[in-house]
Amino acid sequence: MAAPSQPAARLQWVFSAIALPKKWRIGAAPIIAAVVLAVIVIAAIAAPLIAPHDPMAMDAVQRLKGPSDTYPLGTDAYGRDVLSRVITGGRVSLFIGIAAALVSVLIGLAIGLVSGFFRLADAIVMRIMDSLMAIPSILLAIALVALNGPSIWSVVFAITIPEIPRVVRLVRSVVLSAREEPYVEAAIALGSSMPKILWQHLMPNTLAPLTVQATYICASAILTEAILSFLGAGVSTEIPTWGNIMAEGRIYFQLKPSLIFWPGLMLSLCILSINLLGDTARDLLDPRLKKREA
Amino acid sequence: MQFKSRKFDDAPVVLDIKNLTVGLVDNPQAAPVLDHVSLQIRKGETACLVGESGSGKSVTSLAVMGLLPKGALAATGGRIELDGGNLLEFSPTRMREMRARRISMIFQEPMTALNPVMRVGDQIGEVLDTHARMPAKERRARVLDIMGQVHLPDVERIYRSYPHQLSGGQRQRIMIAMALVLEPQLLIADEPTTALDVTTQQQILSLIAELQEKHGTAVLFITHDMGVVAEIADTVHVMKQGEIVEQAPVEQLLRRPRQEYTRQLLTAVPSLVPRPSRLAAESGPVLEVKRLDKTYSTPGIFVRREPTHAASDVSFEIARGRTLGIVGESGSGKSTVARCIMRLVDPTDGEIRVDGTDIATLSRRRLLPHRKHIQIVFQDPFRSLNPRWTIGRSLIEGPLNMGEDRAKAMARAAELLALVGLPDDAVSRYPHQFSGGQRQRVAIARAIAMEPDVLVADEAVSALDVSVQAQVLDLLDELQHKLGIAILFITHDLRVAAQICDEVVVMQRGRIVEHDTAANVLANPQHAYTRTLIEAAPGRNWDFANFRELGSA
Amino acid sequence: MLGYIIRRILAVIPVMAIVAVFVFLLLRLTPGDPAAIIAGDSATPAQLERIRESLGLNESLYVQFVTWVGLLMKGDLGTSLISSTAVTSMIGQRIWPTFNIAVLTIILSVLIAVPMGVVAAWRHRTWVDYAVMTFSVLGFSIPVFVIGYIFIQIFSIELRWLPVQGYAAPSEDLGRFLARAILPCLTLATIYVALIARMTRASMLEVLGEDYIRTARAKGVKENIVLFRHALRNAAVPIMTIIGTGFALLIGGVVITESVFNIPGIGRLTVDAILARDYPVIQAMILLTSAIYVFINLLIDLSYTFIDPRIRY
Repeated sequence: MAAPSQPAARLQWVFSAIALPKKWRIGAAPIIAAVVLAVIVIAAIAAPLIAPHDPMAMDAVQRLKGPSDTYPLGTDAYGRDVLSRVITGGRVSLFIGIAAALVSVLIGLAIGLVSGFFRLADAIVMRIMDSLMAIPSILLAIALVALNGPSIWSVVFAITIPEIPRVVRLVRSVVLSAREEPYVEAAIALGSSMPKILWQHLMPNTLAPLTVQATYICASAILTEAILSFLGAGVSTEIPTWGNIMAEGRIYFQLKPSLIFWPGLMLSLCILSINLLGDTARDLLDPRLKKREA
Repeated sequence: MQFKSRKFDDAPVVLDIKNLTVGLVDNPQAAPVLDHVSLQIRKGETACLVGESGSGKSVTSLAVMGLLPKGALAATGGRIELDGGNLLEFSPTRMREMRARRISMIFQEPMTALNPVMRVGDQIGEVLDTHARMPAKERRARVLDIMGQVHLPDVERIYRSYPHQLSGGQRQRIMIAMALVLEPQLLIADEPTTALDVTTQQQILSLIAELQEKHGTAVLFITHDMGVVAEIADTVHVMKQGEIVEQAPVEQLLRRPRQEYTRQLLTAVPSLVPRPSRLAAESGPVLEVKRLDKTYSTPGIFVRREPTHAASDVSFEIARGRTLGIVGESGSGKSTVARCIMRLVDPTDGEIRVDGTDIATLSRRRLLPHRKHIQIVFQDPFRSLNPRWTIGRSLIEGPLNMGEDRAKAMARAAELLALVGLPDDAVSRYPHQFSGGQRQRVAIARAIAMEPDVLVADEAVSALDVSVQAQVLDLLDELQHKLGIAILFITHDLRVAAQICDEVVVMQRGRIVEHDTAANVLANPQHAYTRTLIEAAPGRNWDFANFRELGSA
Repeated sequence: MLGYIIRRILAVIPVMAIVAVFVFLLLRLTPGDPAAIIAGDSATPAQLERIRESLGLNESLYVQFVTWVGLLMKGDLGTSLISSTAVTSMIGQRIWPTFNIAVLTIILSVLIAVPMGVVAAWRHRTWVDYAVMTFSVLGFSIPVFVIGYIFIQIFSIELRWLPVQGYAAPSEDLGRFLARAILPCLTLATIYVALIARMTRASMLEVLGEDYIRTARAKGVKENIVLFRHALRNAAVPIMTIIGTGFALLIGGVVITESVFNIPGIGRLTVDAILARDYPVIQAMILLTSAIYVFINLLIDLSYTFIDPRIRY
């Protein structure tokens, strides 16, 4: 048996203790990100109250107008108010982002825990997960929309399918390394049942990395939704979403780039904020979690 | 005991550290990590730097190498003189040129210190490429030559090998070859044998001594092991909390330590003399292991691999109140035996009788009621407690599984903490608030909470400093006295085994080669392997705790 | 080693089989009559029957599956509902522009991203590191088509350096090809570079803390050699992995980029198929891209044995 390595371990511990205050200095970026995100979320929730116009109201006279007092960001090809549409557009995007994150994390957690702890299930589950990962979410969503017609849940489903394997792999790797820990072996020796060990000892280890992963899934889902809408395979074109607004603006791009610019800016700011918060959460919760599946 | 007693007063000073102070970069107000450390090493001298973990030994060596972690630690005062220059004032480029040419370093973990994706011959050759220009042929010849000097077998083959294809001892020889190929004046060895088995340690120590003799290298040897100090040191520097508290020639230090701290360190070193034998138990055995076998076979479709016999034909028994030690080097199968007995792995064959019931083949469900009879304490105190759980929750986990009532279990947890010498408010605290030794006490309390008949201690004191080690051993002894439990004590350390075991089993390559009372195994070993083990134990003729030769009482 | 390679190749079979079953069931398990969904509301009974016939929907599920797999094995991916041509030949005509742009993008991304990540890790917590991280988080956050339009706006409309849209084959005129391919490639590369740079940095940061890096420095090895010879090779496995898994992102990106830049590749083909509800084409595209994804990741898996001598099962 190799003898202890305590001096090195201790040295490392000393350095990490020194580095700790630095890690907690989060800087301005995440705070700004949190504020921006809060504004976008509140605006989306309160859209009916704060939007200056009905985002669906068309006005043939006011087509493709530039910014004015009544229409601060101008109007689109149907004479609808761009500002109101951009504010309202966040609702669907945010809903899809949150729904996709929750669904993939919950399903992935359950499968990952089982797969990480039961060797028998593991081989089969991982093969299935490899297959699901190979299916490109954009094309899957396109197929679903082609079959079922545009719907929010088709989009959520399509985004979730390739994300689940990433969550499963993450949970599984955490479980696999945690189950080798002596405290888990001690729990076995103390007669704790497998479900109890899974839930009480192993599952809490996955929470920090999962929180981080959820933010990334949320951001990527919002992005995918926009792409799908842009391609005409997203939610119904009647609902204003950032992707839909841009899809409609494409034709007039050279004439009026602001139809893509404003929703694109909102979308980018929203995803950027979520990603920045995710990075901050990762640095705070688990500095060792660098190799995330992106 | 033959100590080194050469005089170095006439030899030139190689390294002269004067009032070296190292502090935290982030927090200059905090107490310095090194506080006015001064030491001198002359040509051909071996200076040992000893101390417990956190005393600043490694920081001293990294400061000399100019490898202090950037942004965390920095030298704030003093000088490090080598070759007439002050290393602390050197530019990074000049410091880089000093390394391997003037100062070299070997590290503790030979397993991780070599680049895993580079052939070892190229890794040694890189030193030559970096500091000297020479044709490829000559370079290769010099690499092979130094590999021969460190006594590596079949150098042509090893030249082309990757680190993972070599043993720990061979890797450490590669490290030494790499460090000495340019014949530096100073070699810093930071616990170079701590991760090695005792027989390999002996070989590496004599190799360093041999090359030092040959090249007149000054050696700064960092260790926590007083046995090693007794074997190799000319001069000893004792460190405590960033300061050197005592410096003396080795014999003087071991015979007449002046400082109280040095005395404490030496007194805590367990003796190789076995404990006085205790009365044999009149009751029957509580744990009987018969012909235990554990074979690991990897099913492969394309590659057929030989199954590994991690343990074969292992039999022994322990009676109530007695301690049996299993001693062996890494790979001897001693931990496999422990894990089989705990049913953390399933044995391939054989019987494990706990209180008369064979648990070797019981299903998980049927095993459950028998779990309480046998408990385990692991090596690593930092990982054996769930960091998210309070001490109290860890302590009642087992009793709750056995159907005990929570309030009762909590009350008992408080008693247990008192029993292992921890304050009772520890119940509501978390593991990170405790030191390694304290956590090991908690782990023992958790095992005792099940009121087991047998306690398996798997290298339970190996990760602890000697002073803490002594306290935990005393605790185990006391608990055994009070509760009458049988202890199966697994260790690589003969000294520890001598202190706690009634009987000793020596294992080699999965088999028991010797089984006798501790006194007989240590004083009159029968098997050649046991003799090798005992002879390899550093400082085995010295009675550290009494500052004299063994048996000179 | 050979055993490892064979096992990796065999492992592809169940993965592709599951993908195939999934794709097959997607159409068949859709609630309602798939033919009616595909044909749209204004379809006549004759049209519906023709679609059912064409997709083989009148048979039992089992027979359908066997027939479908049998055709797949022969390389028959079905027939387009719109143009009535074989999907394989449609793909064959359109694959080269996509292939050229994808290969160029991957090469460009790796060449830009890996040095970026290495330098960021080496200069950890300096402005270089922050700049790389900022670029990378931006690359993740801005939708591909927005980047595409920004590039068009700047380089084609404002500066007039490059043509707005279109494509030319490199075999005909390399200059014309590069002039038209550079913006789509840069657009596609943004997210890929962000991804690879980020992983390179993370992996390098981890490796730079290893003992053997300290050993290399203790030998007096120059810093650039420490970085590229010692650290990067050890950091390579996760970087290679992310290049492989990131390929999924590239597939999505191709579809959009080809629409934005009007490139006649398989991405455009897919978008046209969605608008026309040409299900056999969509289905074939899912199968094809999944197969390419699996194949690329297989190659990357196999390349590990060359990067890391420890992997020899």
